[in-house]
Parts: sequence; C-alpha cells; structure tokens
Amino acid sequence: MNFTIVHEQNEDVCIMRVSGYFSADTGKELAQKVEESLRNGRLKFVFDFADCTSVNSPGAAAVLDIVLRIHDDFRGRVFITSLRSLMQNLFEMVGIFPLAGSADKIEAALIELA
Amino acid sequence: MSESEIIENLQLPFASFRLFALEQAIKKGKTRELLALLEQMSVSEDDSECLVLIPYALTAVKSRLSEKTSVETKLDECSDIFLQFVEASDQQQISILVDQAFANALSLAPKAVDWLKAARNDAVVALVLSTFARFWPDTWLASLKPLLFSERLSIRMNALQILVQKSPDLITGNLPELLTSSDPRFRAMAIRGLSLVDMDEALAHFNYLLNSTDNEKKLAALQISIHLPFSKICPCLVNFTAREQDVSLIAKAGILFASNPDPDIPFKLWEIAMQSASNKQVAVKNIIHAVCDEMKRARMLTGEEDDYMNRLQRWIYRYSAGVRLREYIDFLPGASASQVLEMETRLKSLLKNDDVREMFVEAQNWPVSEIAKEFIRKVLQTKHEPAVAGKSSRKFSELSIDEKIRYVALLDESENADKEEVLQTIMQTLMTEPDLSATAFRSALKIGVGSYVNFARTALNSGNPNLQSAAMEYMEEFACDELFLKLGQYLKSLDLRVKRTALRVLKRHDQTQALSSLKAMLLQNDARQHHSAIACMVHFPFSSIRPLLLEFLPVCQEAALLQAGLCLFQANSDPESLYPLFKLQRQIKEGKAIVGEVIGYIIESLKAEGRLPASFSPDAARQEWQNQYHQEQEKLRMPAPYSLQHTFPEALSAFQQTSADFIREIYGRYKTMFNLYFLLAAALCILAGIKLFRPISTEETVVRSGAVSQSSMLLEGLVTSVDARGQKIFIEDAGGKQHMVLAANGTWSRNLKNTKLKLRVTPYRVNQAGMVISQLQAFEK
Repeated sequence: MNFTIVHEQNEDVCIMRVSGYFSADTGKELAQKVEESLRNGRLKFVFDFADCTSVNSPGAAAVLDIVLRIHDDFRGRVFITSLRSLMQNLFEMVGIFPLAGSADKIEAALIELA
Repeated sequence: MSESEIIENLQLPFASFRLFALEQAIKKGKTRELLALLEQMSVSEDDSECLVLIPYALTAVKSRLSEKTSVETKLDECSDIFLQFVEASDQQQISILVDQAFANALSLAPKAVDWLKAARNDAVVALVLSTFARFWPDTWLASLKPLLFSERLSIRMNALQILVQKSPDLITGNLPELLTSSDPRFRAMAIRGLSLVDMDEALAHFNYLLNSTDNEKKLAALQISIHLPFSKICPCLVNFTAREQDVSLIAKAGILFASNPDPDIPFKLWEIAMQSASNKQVAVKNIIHAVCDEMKRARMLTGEEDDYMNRLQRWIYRYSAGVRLREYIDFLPGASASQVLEMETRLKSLLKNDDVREMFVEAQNWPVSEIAKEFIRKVLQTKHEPAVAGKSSRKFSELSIDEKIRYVALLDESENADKEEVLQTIMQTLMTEPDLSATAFRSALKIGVGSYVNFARTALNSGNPNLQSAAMEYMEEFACDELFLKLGQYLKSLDLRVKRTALRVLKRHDQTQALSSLKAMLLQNDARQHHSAIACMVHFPFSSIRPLLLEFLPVCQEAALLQAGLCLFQANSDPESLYPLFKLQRQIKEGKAIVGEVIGYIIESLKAEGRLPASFSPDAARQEWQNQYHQEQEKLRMPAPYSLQHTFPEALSAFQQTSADFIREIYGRYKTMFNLYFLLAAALCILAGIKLFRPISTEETVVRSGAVSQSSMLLEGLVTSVDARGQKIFIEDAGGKQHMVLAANGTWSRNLKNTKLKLRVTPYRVNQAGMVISQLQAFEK
C-alpha cells in the first residue's frame, strides 16, 4: 500500500504529515526521519494524520516506539493531530496518548508546543 | 500520563497500575484532586510497596502546589549530582532523580549501576531503574537479572522493562517465573519479551491471558496485542469476542479488528452477533460495520465492493437458515406431528429466499439420517403457503389443529389485525393444546408481544418439552431475571429440547458458563449426553466450540459422534478449521477418510465463497500442515521451560475446570449415595482413563491429552523443579513419568529440588505432553 511522509519545519517544531496506509514500513520511515531530527537537536514534533487512511497494529506499535524514543530518550514532546476516531481509540488503548498529546489540528498542536 | 489518568490508575485494583501511577505522581503530579486522593490512599492503601511511595508522592505534589522548589533538591552542576545523591536521604534521592537526573539521564547513564548501588530504599531503586531505563548500559544488563525476583513489584517491573527492550535473550531462563506472575502488567511485558524469543509460545500465553477472568488481565493482553502479528492473534480475538460479555472490552477488540481489516472477519463476527444477546449483538454489528468501512477506506475491495457485500449477505441468509434447519433436524426424533408441522411451516417461509433454497438443496447431502433427509425433501417440495386464515371465510376457532398451527406459525407474516386476539385465545387454553401454545409463544416473541409472561410462567411447569422450551424462549425476552432463577433446573433436564433451549439462553448471557455445561456433558460416560452436547453446539459461535470438538473427537468411540461433529465443521466452513482437521485426521484411527472428505468439502466451499486465496493449493497446504504438525509434536514432547504447557499445564485442556465441576455436580446430586459403590466406579474410571489417555501406538506416536477421573494415589519420585510461587512442584517417578502437583501458593519450597518425596495426590488430568497433573492431598514422607 502507498504512503508518503512529508517533513516540514515550523520554527523549532518538526511537522510530519503522514498520508496513505500507516503500517510497519511507514513506521520505519517515520522513525528514520524522527531520528535525524532528534540528532539535529529537534525535540518538538507534530505527527499529522489528516491524510492517513488507516493505521494497523504494527503501525501503532511503531508509533508507540517513536513516541517513547522522543519522550523517554530525548525528553522531547510530541503531538498527534487530525486523527479519525478509530485511530484515536487505538492509540489510546495501546498507551500512546499518555506520552503524546492529541489535538484536532496542527495549529492547535503548535500553540501547545510553543 | 495525564493528571486525570494518574488519578484513574491510582484507583485500579492491581498494584502495578497504582505503582506506575505513583511514580508518575512523584514526577509530575500537581493538582489538589490528586493530593486529596493520595491522602486518602495513605490511610486505605493495603499494598506495602504503594505505601512506601505514597509519602514521596504526597511531598512532591504538595511541593508543586506550593510552587516552591525544594532547597534540598536544588543542585547546580550535573557532575555533582551523583556525589550528592550518595549522601542524600531517601526523600532527597527521589527529588534528585526527579528534578535533576531525569533531565540528564543520557549523560549520567554510564554510571547507572553506581546509582543503583547508592539507592538504599526500594522506592528509590525502582526510580533509578525507570530514570535510566532507555539508556541502561549494555554491559550492565546482566546485573538487572536478580532484580527480576525482587520482593518489590515496582523493581521487578522496571528491571523487566529494560531487559525486554534491550536484551530479551537474557530473560529466557527466567521466563517460567515471569510468565506466572499474578500481576497482569508484569505478565504482559514478559509475553512481549517472549515474542522476541519464541513467537508461538508468546501467542499461547497471550491467548491464556486474554481468556482469564479478570478484566485488567484481558485489557493488558489487548494492549500488548499490537506487538504480536495480527494474523496470528486474530483467531484468539474472534474467540475472545465470542466469549466476552463486557461490551466495553468487545469494543476494544473491535478497534483491533477495524484497524487490521480482513475480508474474512465480518463472516466470523456475524456468526457471533447472531448467537448473542441484544446488547452484545449491537456491539458486534458495530464492529462489522467498522471493519467493512475500513476495508473500503483502505481500498482492499476496489471494484469488488458490491460483489463482497453480496457474498456476505448471501452467506448470512444461508448461515441463519442452516442453523435453524440443523436445530429442527435434531428435534425430529420423537417430535409430534404438530411439532413437525410447525417446523415445516417455519422453514417453508424461509424458502422465498433463493440463497436459502439453494442451501436447503445442498443440505440433502449432509451426513444426516434418512428421516432428516426426507424432512428436507418434503420442505423443498411443498410450495410456501402464505398466512391463510385472514383470507379464509372461516373463523380461527373453526380451523383444524394443523391449520391453526400453520396460521399461528406464519402470524408474523400476516397482515391481519386479529393477531393478538388469536394469541390471547390460545393462551387461555394453554395446556389443552400444548403444541399450538408453543407455536403461539414463538410467534408472540417474533411479533414482539410481551403481555403473556403470566401464561409463560405456567407453561414453564408444563410436562410438554415443546411448550416448556417455547415458554423459556419467551421469558428470556420478557422476564429474563425471573427465568435465570430457575434456569439451573432446566439445564439438568433429561429432555434434549428443554436442555438445549436452557443452554442457548445461558449462552446468550454467559457463554463461558454455557461452554462449561457443554464440557460437562462431553465428560459424562453417556453417549446420549455426547449426542446432546454436539446437537447443542449449533447454538454457539463455531470458533468457541471448535477447540472443544477437537479435543473430544479424537477420543470419542462412536462413528456417529465423529460424523455429527464433522457435520458442524462442514456447516461452518472456515479457513481456521483446515489445519485442526488435518491434525484430527492424524490423531484418529477410524474415520480418517471421512475427515479427508470434509477437508476437501471445506476447501471447495471456501473457494466458492472467495475466502481462500486464488493461489491456494491443497497439496502445498498439506505439506505445510505436515511440517507444522511435526514441529508441534516435537514441542509437546520437549516443551521449553517457558512454554504454556510447562508454566500453566492446566491451561491446555478445554476440559480442565469442568472435570472438577462435574465431580462436584455429581457429588451434589448423589451425596446421600456417595458410598463405596461410587468409589469403586471411580477406580474403574481411573483404569479406563489411564488406558484411554495412554499414547496410542499408530504409525506416528501422538501425544494425547485428556481428563482422568478423580481418586487419590500415592506418588513417589524425585523433585525436578518448583515454580516461583511455590504452588506447583514437578516430580519424576521411578518409571520416568512426569508429574505436576498443585497446592496452595507457598506450599513448596525451592529447596525441595532434587529431593525424594512421597505424596498422596488426586490426579485429574494428563496434559498433551503426557504429564500427569494432580492436586496434593497429603504429605506421606
């Protein structure tokens, strides 16, 4: 299944726009982009799922690992935005949200991270 | 973790959740609500570890609320932190970890072990571990292993988390103890670690956790499910959905189904929905809709959406009619002419649907009796007769009994206004025409008229099984609580119709209990009970009764029972049945050919339904099954120490709890006669059981499990191991046979290893590896 991850920088916040089907492969690519940013000293992230069609279990496991990496290893902060209710419920169930914040839109997340 | 989640977790019944929340409260708690809860917990908490952390949490939250930074924790230089930590009091150490070390964990981590040594209080040790968890130096990972067995759960949890993430191989030897932890979070984490070492065993443990009786344990299993391959856990989740009654947990399983949409899932879930009470039915149907929506969204069905939905709809019609037909076929022996007429009338009304008609035509080839085949032929030959009396000039009272039954059976299709009047008339003469009254109750139920509970109450005491059953079905809908008070007596009924209706009612509300009753029937040494049990299985989601069938069929002695069981496999074509049937074929001596035919039939059905990949090749599949079978047999012969059969041997048998339940039930029923005669019979049963469950020498030696009847025996042998909780001891007797003896927690000391013991035990089970599982009665030596 197709997916793309577009990386934008908004001042000190890395915005990752995920589109398509989020699976383990997408997770690997997102992890790689996040790792590069972390190593460049970026500690604030927004993952936007507005154009993401679905997130499967391995995808959710990958998001959890990425969020743990940012939150625990680098003391960074993450907001996840524009989630459909199914993804929101999945992320809540597997424990991503206590670690990451959640917002309806990127703008709201940027305010929280400011 | 947000403040509200900390508060929520602090109120959960499991200590590990509260401990984790307390750690979070120490790190960041800052509301008055949390403070109030902590103060309350300081009085009410009964877990010793939580009690240690509560004062620190109180101090930390109070400090944040007063917006003062503790002078004691103000440290300037990172390099000084460790020296100050060594000298600090327990409270100061916690403050240093939270306020200073946490932010500099990466640079301080190379000395993590020194921090650990400098921590004097258990709460501080746990915090050191969580502070440096992600950066724990690889060279010091082995030093964490002893902490896995600390008395403090928080220390065990944090040490395990580090080892699972960084080096799961290190914990392999300790997994048996870790996997038997009573704490669900700890066990879930151990399963995750195991998945990195042995996926099959991790799945077995996952399934066991998911099927426990505690909601927290089930939730912990659902949470770790994302770390296991969905295709592997999917059958466990389907089974879980079938058994679970808590709709909030079903909804959580639904999140996983919808997030991993599979075209086969709606078929399986629909079966469960149909067999469930109304609130669960709604929850399961919501999941089906969500899965279908997600398949569309993921474009899994591009260009084939209509075709898929038509296939699903067609399957639903066929399945529903098939269940009804099978139920009626079982009622045929001994049914009165009036009952047969009602069944015919109701079935004919279904034949308006072409898919149902097609299924009925196919049903003529089912492996059923000639009487049943004749019944199906008759239903198919006769044209459907629409509701009659409305268009007839005659009054209802003037109709013959057959016409009355036909009229009432089709009342839901009738547009006449006299429905309730007719029903009322029949109810007034309840006992004079019991079959007609039974038909009336079923039609009233279908129409939704709930005003005949008084009559149903009377009908429940009728001696007519047809009327009793109809009254039960009616009361389930309109006076369920009252019916449940009496359900036990109907479950014990010797009449199949009454018993299966009671079982169906029980199943809709508590499937686990209903399955236990089914198991008890299969355990009895009575072929009629076995036939009744298999007949009742049609009312259960097939995924729930399949394990039961697969354990029973290899040991059943009657060809007719094997045939009846296989009939259920045929009627519920499912890709998940193929390998188990292949296994069954290897396990039985008689009937291998019939099983082979059933496998072929299922493959063809699945292909026709588009539920097998186009590339599916039976020959290649057989080769794959053969390999899988050999691997499984090998594992059963030489189980890994962390395997489910070693750590929870009692879990492997679907019959496990029922054995004891059954004995209790029998004892309760016949306690006045529980004398020498019964003991003698029990001894004979043991002999039969030992013979029955001794590995059979065929071309392939097959390890076969099963229940053995209960009677005490003397066991003498060498202790090979003891579990961490001192609950299970493993003994090898002089003949080399392995035994596991269960007792209360803490009964067995680890020092017993390699000593000789003589015990009086009650054996109740031989597991798949041939290990005899017994309950301790007394120490002899």
